[in-house]
Amino acid sequence: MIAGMNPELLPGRVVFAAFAPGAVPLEAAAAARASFAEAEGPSLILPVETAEALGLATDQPMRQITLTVFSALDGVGLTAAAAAALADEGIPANIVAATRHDHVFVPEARAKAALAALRALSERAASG
Amino acid sequence: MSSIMTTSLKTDRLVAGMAPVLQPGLFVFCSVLHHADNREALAQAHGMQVEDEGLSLILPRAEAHRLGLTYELPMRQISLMANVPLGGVALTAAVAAALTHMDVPAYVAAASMHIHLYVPSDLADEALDTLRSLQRDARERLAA
Repeated sequence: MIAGMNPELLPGRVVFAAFAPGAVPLEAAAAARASFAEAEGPSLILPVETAEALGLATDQPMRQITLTVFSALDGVGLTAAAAAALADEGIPANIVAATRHDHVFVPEARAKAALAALRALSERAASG
Repeated sequence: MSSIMTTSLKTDRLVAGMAPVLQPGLFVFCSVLHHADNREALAQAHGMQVEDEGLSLILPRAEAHRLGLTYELPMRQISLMANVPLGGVALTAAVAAALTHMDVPAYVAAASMHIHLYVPSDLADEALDTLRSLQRDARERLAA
């Protein structure tokens, strides 16, 4: 599974934004790439352009890397391997597993390094 | 119970303080097309991720059932209540490795404040035990 994960760097930059309960603007909800209801309030992943237009903080722009292998539920091994490969390189990352794929969010400045680390992981798995 | 060796002090500190909490309720993962017809499902979703193929939603099982959506296993949510903004990848790695080691499948969802895990409801207690054991080992190493 790790050998076939085929990490893909998506275009565009995003930011994580936390809102007070019930305080998500319609524009943010409509443009969100992802959302999560935390006990403290909604957490959204927004395109930088949307966040800027709403006057939200954009000082930590991130890029999305999708692991395009089909992430079945037993894919936690893939999540573990990807997270470890990034942690080993000192690359901060937020990982969101969805129905079909794992999505990895990394600081924009580290996106290329993250992609290289994930590709190396995939190649090691393929040759091992 | 065996433990995954986490040698880094930083990881041990994250794991020692992760404070896992089993949340009430049953959740399911659903896929829907990105379409206005799914507005109600979106409104009820605890989690949403845009994928090329459509939207991936985390819904309370009762809502998914009421909306007639297809879903598989009922899951429980475990939140790691430590605040680990972006520094959490080592914690994600340690937790995912420990669950893999115990053959507990899981979905990981990092949000703004916390990292959340979804595990099959019949394995929720085992998952929590695994996390607490991992946490105990990290605390023992830190105290040594």
